[in-house]
Amino acid sequence: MKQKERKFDALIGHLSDDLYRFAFWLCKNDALAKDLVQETYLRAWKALDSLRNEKAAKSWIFMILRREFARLFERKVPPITSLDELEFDIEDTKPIGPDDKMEIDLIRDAIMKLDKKYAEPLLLQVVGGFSCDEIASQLDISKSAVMTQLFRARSKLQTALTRESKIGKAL
Amino acid sequence: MNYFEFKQQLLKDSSTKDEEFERLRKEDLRCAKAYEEAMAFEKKLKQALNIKVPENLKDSIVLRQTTAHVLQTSMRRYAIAATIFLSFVIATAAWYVKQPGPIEEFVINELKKKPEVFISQQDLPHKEVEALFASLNTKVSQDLGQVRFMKTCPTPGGTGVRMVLMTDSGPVTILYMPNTELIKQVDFELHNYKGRLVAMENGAAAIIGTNIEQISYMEDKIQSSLKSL
Repeated sequence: MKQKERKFDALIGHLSDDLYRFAFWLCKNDALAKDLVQETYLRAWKALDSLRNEKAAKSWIFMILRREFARLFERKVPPITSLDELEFDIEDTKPIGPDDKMEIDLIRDAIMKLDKKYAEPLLLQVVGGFSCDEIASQLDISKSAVMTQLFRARSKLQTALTRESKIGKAL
Repeated sequence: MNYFEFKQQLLKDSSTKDEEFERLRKEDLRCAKAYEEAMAFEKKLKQALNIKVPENLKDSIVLRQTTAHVLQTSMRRYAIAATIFLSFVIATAAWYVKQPGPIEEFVINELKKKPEVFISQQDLPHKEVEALFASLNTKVSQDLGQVRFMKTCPTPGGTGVRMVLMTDSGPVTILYMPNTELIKQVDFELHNYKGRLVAMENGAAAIIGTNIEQISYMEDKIQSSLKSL
């Protein structure tokens, strides 16, 4: 048991924060995201012996989370958490200016509205740190389809940012 | 690759190691500026996605794993049996208390919601136990032992406490009802689990365990420990 725990921790123990953020933006609800991550780890724990390639542990657990999300929310849409309730956790030590904060809020708002088809590859790339090839494998689509969805996702976010900034300035 | 293709690539994957992309980034002024702007956007995107993670996330993951593991064994049987048994005890107890109410519902719900309490490995600090009982006008005059779980809950007579104590012979569930008056002591038995409803100096308590010795031990313990403030 101890050996299994050590292996489990070493392979995926450090990924809980990334998984939580991925889960949150996927289901857009903090309580459900926490449940989703807990359930993901539980399933991973039970299925650890089935992990053949340890180098693929990260892809493997993200895949489990995506499947669990699909299983739980295929038929029902979770209630969306208000963005006002979210807290910042910015990596930079420099304080964020009001303009930057406004832009970050606008991006968050746009991500909330982003279609899952576009959001998922973007989240896998930015939060999960996966390459386009890895995302293609995760989503079981071609690499060119991934690139197209990433292109559209960022275009939509940038458009929303530009439009909202202009509206803000006009006001 | 021209400028527009370069910009498209930035929206797809700015970390590409494509040689032509790298060349344009370094040598073409327009591309270099577009790259800089894209990097600024990527930074904001990362910041936007970087929401705060709940502080207890790692603990809750470990707890869920431990719960799942242990509940597969004897504790799971205990949790299920205790739930069934406690519901029976409380339903029956409603005949013996002066203030009958929906007590069985909350006990069942509490146990269903929190099966992990049976396998918690950490004792609650005595000070926390004392403070919680003090909020119910009850003094803990002696150490209760290994309190593994404790939570206030509504009872027919007002706020009470549900707690799980670990003994040498396994966990014991106690439902403390400070404002519920019991007419007489009641012993129960169901599915190899035993329970007792006892009158306390301040209200009543239900004790659920696996054997009568365990229950008697715990009855003595709480009778001598829990006093009115």
